[in-house]
Amino acid sequence: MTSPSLAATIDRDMEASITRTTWRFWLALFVAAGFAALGGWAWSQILQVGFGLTGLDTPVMWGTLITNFVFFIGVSHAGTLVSAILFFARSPIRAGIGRSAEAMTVIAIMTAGLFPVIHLGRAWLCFWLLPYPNERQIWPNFHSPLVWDVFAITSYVTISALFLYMGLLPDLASLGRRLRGVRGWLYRSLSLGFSGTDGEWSLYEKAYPIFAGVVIPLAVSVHSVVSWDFAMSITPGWHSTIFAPYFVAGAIFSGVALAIILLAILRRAYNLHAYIRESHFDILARLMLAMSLIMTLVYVTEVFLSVFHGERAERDLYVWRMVGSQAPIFWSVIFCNSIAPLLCFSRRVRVDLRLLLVVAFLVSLGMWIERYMIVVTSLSHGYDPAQWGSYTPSRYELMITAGAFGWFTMLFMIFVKVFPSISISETKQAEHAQSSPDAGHAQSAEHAAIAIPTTAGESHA
Amino acid sequence: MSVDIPPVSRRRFLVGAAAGSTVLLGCGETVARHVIPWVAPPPDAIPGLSLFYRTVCRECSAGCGMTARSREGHVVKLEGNPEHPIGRGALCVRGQAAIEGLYDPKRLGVPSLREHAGAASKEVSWDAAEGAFADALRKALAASRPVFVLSRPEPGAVGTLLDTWLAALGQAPGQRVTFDPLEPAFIRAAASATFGVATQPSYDIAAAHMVLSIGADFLEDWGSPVEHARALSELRAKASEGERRFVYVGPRLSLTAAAADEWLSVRPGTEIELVLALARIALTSGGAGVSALPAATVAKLTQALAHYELAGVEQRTGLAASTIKRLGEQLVRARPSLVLGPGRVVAGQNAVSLARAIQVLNVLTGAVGQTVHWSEPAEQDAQPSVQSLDHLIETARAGRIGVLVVHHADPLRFGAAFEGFTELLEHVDFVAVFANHAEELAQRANLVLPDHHFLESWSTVSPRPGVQGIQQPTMSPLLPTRAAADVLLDAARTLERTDGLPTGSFAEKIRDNLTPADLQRGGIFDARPVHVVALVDDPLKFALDSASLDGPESGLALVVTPSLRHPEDGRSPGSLLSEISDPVTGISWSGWVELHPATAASLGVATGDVVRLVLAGRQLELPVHEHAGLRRDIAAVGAPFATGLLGRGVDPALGLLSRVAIHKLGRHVALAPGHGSDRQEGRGLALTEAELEKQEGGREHTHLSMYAEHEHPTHRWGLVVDLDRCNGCVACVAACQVENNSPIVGPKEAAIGRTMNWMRIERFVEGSAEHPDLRFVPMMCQQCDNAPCEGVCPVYATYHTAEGLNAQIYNRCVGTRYCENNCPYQARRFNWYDNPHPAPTNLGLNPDVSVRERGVTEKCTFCVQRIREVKEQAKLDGRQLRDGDVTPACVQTCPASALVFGDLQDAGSRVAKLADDKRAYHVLGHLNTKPGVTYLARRRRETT
Repeated sequence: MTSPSLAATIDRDMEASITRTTWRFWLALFVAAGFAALGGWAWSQILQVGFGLTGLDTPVMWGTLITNFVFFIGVSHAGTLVSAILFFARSPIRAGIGRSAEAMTVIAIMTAGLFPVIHLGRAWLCFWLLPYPNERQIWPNFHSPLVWDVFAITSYVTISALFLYMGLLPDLASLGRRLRGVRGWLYRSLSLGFSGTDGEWSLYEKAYPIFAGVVIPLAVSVHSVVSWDFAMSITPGWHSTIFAPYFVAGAIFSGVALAIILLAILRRAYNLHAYIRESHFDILARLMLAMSLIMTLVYVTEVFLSVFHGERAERDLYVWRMVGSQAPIFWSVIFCNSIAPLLCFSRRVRVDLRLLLVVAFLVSLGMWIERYMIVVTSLSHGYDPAQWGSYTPSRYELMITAGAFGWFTMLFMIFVKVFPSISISETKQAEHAQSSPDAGHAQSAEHAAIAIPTTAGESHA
Repeated sequence: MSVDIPPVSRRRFLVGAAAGSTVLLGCGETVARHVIPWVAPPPDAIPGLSLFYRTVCRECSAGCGMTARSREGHVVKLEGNPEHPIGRGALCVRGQAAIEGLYDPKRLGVPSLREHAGAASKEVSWDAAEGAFADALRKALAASRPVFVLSRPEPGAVGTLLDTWLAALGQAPGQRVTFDPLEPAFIRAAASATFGVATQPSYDIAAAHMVLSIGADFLEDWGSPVEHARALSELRAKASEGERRFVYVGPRLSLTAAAADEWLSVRPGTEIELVLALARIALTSGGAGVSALPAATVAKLTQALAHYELAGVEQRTGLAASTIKRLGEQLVRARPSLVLGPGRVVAGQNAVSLARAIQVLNVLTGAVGQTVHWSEPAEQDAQPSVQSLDHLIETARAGRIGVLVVHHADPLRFGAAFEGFTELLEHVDFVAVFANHAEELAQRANLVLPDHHFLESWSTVSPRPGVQGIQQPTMSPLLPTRAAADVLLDAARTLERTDGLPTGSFAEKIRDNLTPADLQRGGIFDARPVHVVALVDDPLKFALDSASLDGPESGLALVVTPSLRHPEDGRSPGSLLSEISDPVTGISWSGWVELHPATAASLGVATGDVVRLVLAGRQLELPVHEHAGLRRDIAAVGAPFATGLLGRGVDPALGLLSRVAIHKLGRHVALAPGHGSDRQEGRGLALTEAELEKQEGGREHTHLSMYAEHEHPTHRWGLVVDLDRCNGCVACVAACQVENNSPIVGPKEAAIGRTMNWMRIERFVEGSAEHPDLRFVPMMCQQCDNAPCEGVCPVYATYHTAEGLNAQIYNRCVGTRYCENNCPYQARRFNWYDNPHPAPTNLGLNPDVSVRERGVTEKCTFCVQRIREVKEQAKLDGRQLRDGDVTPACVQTCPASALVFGDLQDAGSRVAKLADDKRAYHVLGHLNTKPGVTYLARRRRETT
């Protein structure tokens, strides 16, 4: 059995993020919601007046909005995928970061999913992309990658949400028992009567791996499908078989970077140093570094392939990207995604949170710019030179972009306010394993060695 | 208290209901009359079907025949009249855009009168307006002050009426003044000196084996652009029958120069030396016309031309002696040859001498009588317009003018050029203006009388002897306007001065002389009467005044260039003409000054930088456009933008002016459309025959496909674009926009590439810096059989029809714009906004084509509405479709016949044969899009 005092400490720490609300939280939530509202207003203007309010033109028909879509889909990746992989690897750091990573996934996909609708010329007809029986007897065009998108995203959001919910069940039950009032009622209702009996735990531990197992291939396929939005076209710069692995790697890369940023904020805001430890960041930084090296390989391969490509338009595009008027975009991508993460070879950077945050921020920015580069520069330098063009985002698109980040932040803040942002049950299991190595799951010695620092334990004892 | 409701019996109810429905029905009928506003409905009019009326285009003085398509009483499309000898079924860009003027919301509908000088102009009734007009005339006649009529060129019934009307009022014939500012009066003056015949000749370009244009931009504004474009296209098509050459000499690579085999330029102002050197070669090496000349004339010519030996001319003109020699020999060898000119861009102070030299050269080479024809001088040729305007101004200075009747003319639009006219207005008691728009002169007039639009009026137009086009109303007047002729007739009747004037209305007068067959044909067309001319005794007796340009030595010679997109009479172009890009520069909406890139660099400016041009104290600010096809020592400004630089009394028909100083201002503007590359970047979009041969397998290889080929059980529609014939005149672009209700987006949106045209003329500058080669590619939806747009649409808004069209269903489109990203031809357009069609422009919309809403994608449909109409008609007639039955709007209007449409599966069709031509290729065919549009590579053109 877990020692009661330790369990109580964990319960108290986790509850704190839910029950204790400072003015800082309200201010931050207000700001985030304000940005989201601004984005909503900008969209309402586009709905009323038309897409002329954006900076799009012939030939750049997709711009910032699609960039945001791909970016948030990418962000959504790291979460569930990382959490599921860590689960199968029986990694001890999962207890600290799994929950927020999964939440990040669901929220990011809730953000990303807005963009295909926002960017429709007639958004009020977005349901025509869904296959539903109708009097016109028309189905969507299953040849179109945009329809694949609809299926990929809806599947992914469903499975990710269930995976997150599944993990939440024991915590909800535990909170429901301890809290009174509306909150208690809410948690008890949401816990679906989970009471922690051995039978329930046994079923739970059989079901959970199924979800984790489904999530991993799904995550890979979702981002492959998103990449096919581009790769299935014949546009130079998009039409490439490398796109699926390229996008999956990029997604994990940007997802890990954002996870580092969110965890750092969470750890500081709720004083969770005991649960989200430097060693966690160390491992995430190593993952980010590995993904960065893969991205560099992809960039080099892509340029290599295009320069020796039979299609003149393809060659011209890549040369123009590297040395033409848009070269600053290309080189900032290389700097942010390939050069800056090399700092993570140094252990000092991996464990010094301030330095690591700088790198993670650069990677997030670089990945946003990379998506912008893929979307915009490819379209502006197509087959017909007389139709080459340029694109500058209009203020409405910038407002919607700011709104998307505001929306994402707002939902994440509401999540950590309403649900425990670190898995209570898993943390307890980890603690239990540490305090009595023979009990419960067979835990490796290495696992047990990662324990709550005594200082933290003492301060709560 | 209760309300007492009277009981309603069944009978009373029925009476009431009947009355109510009668009122309702009555209302319905009134509304219907507005929808179908026929004065007397033609017996064969069926709502939903088109009626066609033949008339004449009055947008310029060429007088092309027109066919107006009318639906439910409103004209919705203008096309050429195939039976009319001038246009032969084609219209230029201005003719296509004329419909915009008809439905212009700013067109005048109500007369306005200024009670006394200085008072504000007020709208009045027609009775009041006509009363005021008659009073003014009465006063003038009583005071014995002359009545003058100033009109646009009216070669036909209206012109005759104006003459008769003046005569009836007892006025001298010289008091009718024709205002034709761009008329090349110097050609008539020269003809008078060379042959003693003061008329304009006509030219047979298609018959010549060698055409040499001395700055004559005959595809743009030199006479009759549609007729000339057709002739040049015929000349091109004959290239396979033996040598046919077209050489252009002028300072700028214009639209016409771009259509030439060779573009040469000489030092501005020295063109006459070149022409005389060529004349010397013709004289000495046996020109076909020399033997027929009297010995005395030959002797005098030999003496006059002795000075123009090759070496000296080479030095003065800057053109290599070998080139001059070659040109001369080619002219002599080609039988017949034709020298055209001078055009505006080379017409300076010595324009008359230059024109005389060209006429003599045409005599020596034997072209006169073969390719150059003079006709009998007609009455309206009596006086060049500028001279007669001078007469008007002099009369006004000598004493007051009673009434000046202005009929569709406005010298004030030409700035300082006709400053004398501004002063003249001080000496006129009463100015009455017949106009469609309240432009400058109308704003100063005492009385403005809104005339019908030309599509609503009766007249005849005789642009040259033997051609009498009938201008008949194509719809009942949209606005409460009155025909100018009827107003004049009424005034004469009020004054009881009706000698020689018709008794009924003007319309009756014209109709009485015509048969229904004439009206259906659109005119009475006879063979061209030929007038034989002979050289005067000493034709080259003039002082040579070449190359004398004023202005600072360091300055650039100012060349005023013609524009296809601007009305010659100085009216501002409508928004459609403004939005269509100038084919040579690609600029829409704004003005510009062209500089050679090297010249621009030496001035430290680049495209888009605003400069100030200074000429004799007058200034003009324009953005620079760098044009490689320009001499380094000139600056070129389009005529519509150069008005501010014209000096007092400078003939606006002259285009080679003094040197201008150019100052950099440091401002920059975005010229619309400001993107895209001038070069093809090796994409092989616009190919020549030689390039196509070099591209081994330029016709795409067979691709393997996972999918079955599309089957086309009945037709596969296809289009062939002959780049050898296409001269980039953009008439097709205008035709497409009008036919398909494409909206105009305005300068701001156009600058960022949001124009809605389904068809565009792409321009590329190829060749070396010394020999730039301007190429045009008409680009529209290629109706690919393996269309990249179709697969990516998530909602099947675009799909493949059984007849090979990429159909677009506007109602189904949700606006993902993926199709537009995936179209390698960028043929698709997105509706960024709702595009309003404010009344009355909505009446001009084509009812067979949907008006698209915001958020949907659209594109060229090969005019599917026309395909359907023809198919339905064929079905009703119980016959199969024949080749040539279907003509999309662009194909219909092409003056050069560069576009051919038909069924690719019908082996006998023209389009199928041309698509198999050895010059045939598909643009970006290697992408395996399998386009339905085939291009024919431009034939070899030497670039010596």
